[in-house]
Amino acid sequence: MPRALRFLLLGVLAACDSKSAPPTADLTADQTAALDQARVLVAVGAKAEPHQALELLTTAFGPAPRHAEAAFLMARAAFRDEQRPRCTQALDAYFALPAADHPDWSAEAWVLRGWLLEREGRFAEAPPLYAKALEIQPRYGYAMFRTGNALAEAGDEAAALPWVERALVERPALLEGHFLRAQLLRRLGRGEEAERATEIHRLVNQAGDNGASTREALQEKFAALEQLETRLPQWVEGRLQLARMRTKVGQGALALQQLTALLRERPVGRDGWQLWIELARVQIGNASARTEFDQLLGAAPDLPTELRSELRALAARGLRQ
Amino acid sequence: MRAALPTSLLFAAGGCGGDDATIDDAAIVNAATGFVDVTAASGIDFRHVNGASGQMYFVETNGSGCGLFDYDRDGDLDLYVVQGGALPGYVAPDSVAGSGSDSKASPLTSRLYRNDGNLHFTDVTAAAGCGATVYGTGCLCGDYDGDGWRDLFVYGLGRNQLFRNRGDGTFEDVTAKAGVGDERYAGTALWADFDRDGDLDLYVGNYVKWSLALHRTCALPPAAQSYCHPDVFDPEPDLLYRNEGNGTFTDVTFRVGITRRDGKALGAVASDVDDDGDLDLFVANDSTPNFLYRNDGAPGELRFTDVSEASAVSYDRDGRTQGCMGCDFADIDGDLDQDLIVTNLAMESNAFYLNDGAGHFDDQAALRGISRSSRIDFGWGVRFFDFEDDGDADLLTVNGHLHAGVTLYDASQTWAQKAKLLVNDGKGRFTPCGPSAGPFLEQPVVGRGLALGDLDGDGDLDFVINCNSNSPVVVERKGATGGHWLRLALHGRGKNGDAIGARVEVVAGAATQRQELRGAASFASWQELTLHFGLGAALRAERITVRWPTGDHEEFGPLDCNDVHRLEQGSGRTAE
Repeated sequence: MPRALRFLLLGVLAACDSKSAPPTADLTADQTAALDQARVLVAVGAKAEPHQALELLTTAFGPAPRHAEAAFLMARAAFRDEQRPRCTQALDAYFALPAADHPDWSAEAWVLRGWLLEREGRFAEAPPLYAKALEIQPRYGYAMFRTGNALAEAGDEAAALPWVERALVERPALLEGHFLRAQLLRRLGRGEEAERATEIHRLVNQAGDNGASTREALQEKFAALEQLETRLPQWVEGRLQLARMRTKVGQGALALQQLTALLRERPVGRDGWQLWIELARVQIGNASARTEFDQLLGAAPDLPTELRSELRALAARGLRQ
Repeated sequence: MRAALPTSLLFAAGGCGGDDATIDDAAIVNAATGFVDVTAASGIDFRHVNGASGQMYFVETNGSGCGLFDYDRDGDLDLYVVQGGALPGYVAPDSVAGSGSDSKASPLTSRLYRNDGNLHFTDVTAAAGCGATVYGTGCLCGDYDGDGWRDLFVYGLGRNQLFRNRGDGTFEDVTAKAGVGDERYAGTALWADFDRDGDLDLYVGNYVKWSLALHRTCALPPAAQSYCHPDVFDPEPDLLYRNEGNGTFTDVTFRVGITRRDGKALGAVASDVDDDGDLDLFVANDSTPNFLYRNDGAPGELRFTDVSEASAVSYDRDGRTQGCMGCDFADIDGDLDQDLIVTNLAMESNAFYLNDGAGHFDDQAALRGISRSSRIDFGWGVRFFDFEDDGDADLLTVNGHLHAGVTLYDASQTWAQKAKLLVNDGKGRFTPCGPSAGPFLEQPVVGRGLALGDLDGDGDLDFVINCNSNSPVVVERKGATGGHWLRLALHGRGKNGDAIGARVEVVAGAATQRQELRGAASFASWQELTLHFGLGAALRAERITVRWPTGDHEEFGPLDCNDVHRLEQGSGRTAE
């Protein structure tokens, strides 16, 4: 499976996790089956087959579904299959439905509308549509990125750059964001910053969008993650990957040290805490780990109560005496 | 040399375009003409052997290219077809056409076919002595020693081979003497006079570290096993050889700035992308960043600067690497700078990089109509050329999947795929043509290398596709193109007699066109060296300006349309 397929529209999809579907009581068995399959076929991953999803949905629901999820998935599939008229038709159908009030879908649907205009070269018309997405989801990083992209294409690099940088605050590893940022800085005559941005893009590409599995490639990925730890410290997932890789190559103590620093700096995120517990148990033993865990948690007074409780439960299970 | 004038201008509107086509002037030639497969009567009995036996050796997938060149200087284009080879477990049939004999008794080799005229060819490999035995990816057919006879360089997995054309219809293997017999897995190569010292230097783009000892397969359910992605193998650094002018070459790769080690090369083209008078080097890499080396050397000097990331050709529009294969440059929007096409894996779409004139690029594949039309294609050979002779560069791509059994696990893909022709609206937006541009475009092939040239001397461009594990296809352009044309055969001074690297501007009517003469383009294939310009309704080109590889400028013309003109360096008017 081509790697590009796995990452196509990753930005959009990552911003809009599918939530529970509307009631399907009125659907036929064929329609229900088509929806079930289409959800998988338009997701990011090895099974992504947007063309197949599009045909399934069209057969089951017609070209303009009167069902919100079907219309939304059809729009997404048609966009990914580069079938612009069918995407437009599905989006029209989606927005015509009174039930089209699912915030994630609606935000993405506005992004698709804007993106379609970009594909036609109508760049100046796209930002207002991305603004509608951002009204629904103010932290929708991909909508910010597309706004920056449309402005850049329309020739307003100075206005585009802040949008791209805002997108990177929300999505620190957004590859296309780093790429565009480097281009914009270069066009704005900020050569040294452009060089640094180019290097970060290269490192993110090596660290993230890299399916290479040879020893040499893994070493490159490891080196990239190490550099990004300081150059892109806000990319928490990258730092977690680095900790995991360090553990695998026998650098568990360093990984624990790095992870402890991460949690002091950015204590949010269950995954980081869980990894810390696993590492600490092995590196310093349960008793010391429990003491240190309590100190770390104590140093993060702003953690939501629910997460705090969950973490205490995790530690209780993971660091038993 | 005057060819027949088009007897009619047969325009038929609406021949190209999809459901959201934006071109309203996509007029093309009569549907009964266009591209027609004439292989059956061509006398070409070659069959490509990739050596497959079910072991899924990685090397089986890429071959091979081909070359169109006049090896015997009789005025027509001969054909060299690159062969793969046998691999462990491969069982040869009792006879393999094109091997010249029982294939079990003689090794598989690449083949040379002499053009007999009338689109008929004769296998002269044995007599010529140029049957390369390397498991071939592609070939170059340039005159490296400046004796006026075009030579052959065949590269692939194993020892690359250089055959010197003796000028008497035979070749001698001079690989050892020349010092170019590197044994790494080469994915591409080109000739170019990068240092402007008058002879052709050799670039060899290597692919991955692969050998039978490193063989592995990868599962791709429900197929029991499949070819591995190139990610599974490490990249192999490329090579630049300086031509010493005495039949030998020196590896100067790292000392002149060709320093990247992270590319898996399958395509390379030289072009003056920043319009500063020297040839820069673009390398298309598979699943790794593409390279662009800016030539910063003074005349006589080889010196490159890596501007890959800064020029924005390393990645696609989204900043991601792609599975890049073939590549070509042309001015597609009439601003006279060189824009870039790169063919990619299926589901990635081909990339199209618009040049801003200073060597900075912007991937506009989606905006220009290239992305959608190429999305399901597994692209290899690619050429810009003026299909309609209307004065702009159209686009031909050749496609074919790696895996004969791909449909088992991917219903959207087939092993054999149709070639695709996209026509330019004159403003740089492309629309696909269907069968109205010729029945061949409805004929799936397992395409790899693509070489364009006027095989029958009638003034339009025919082509040959070498096909993986299949026979090559000879495609004739039939009927009138719809416009007038001008063909220019350059003859330079010194050892680069074919003037590879020259830049030519043609002014006809209100339009100015610019082309470069390349030492390789497409995928693994060598192209005809005569430049073809479509003139539309113009009956002559008022002025032709040649920038020779030595840097001299000369003007020629006016020249009449529908003719082949030979331009000798030193015979024109000196120009600024």
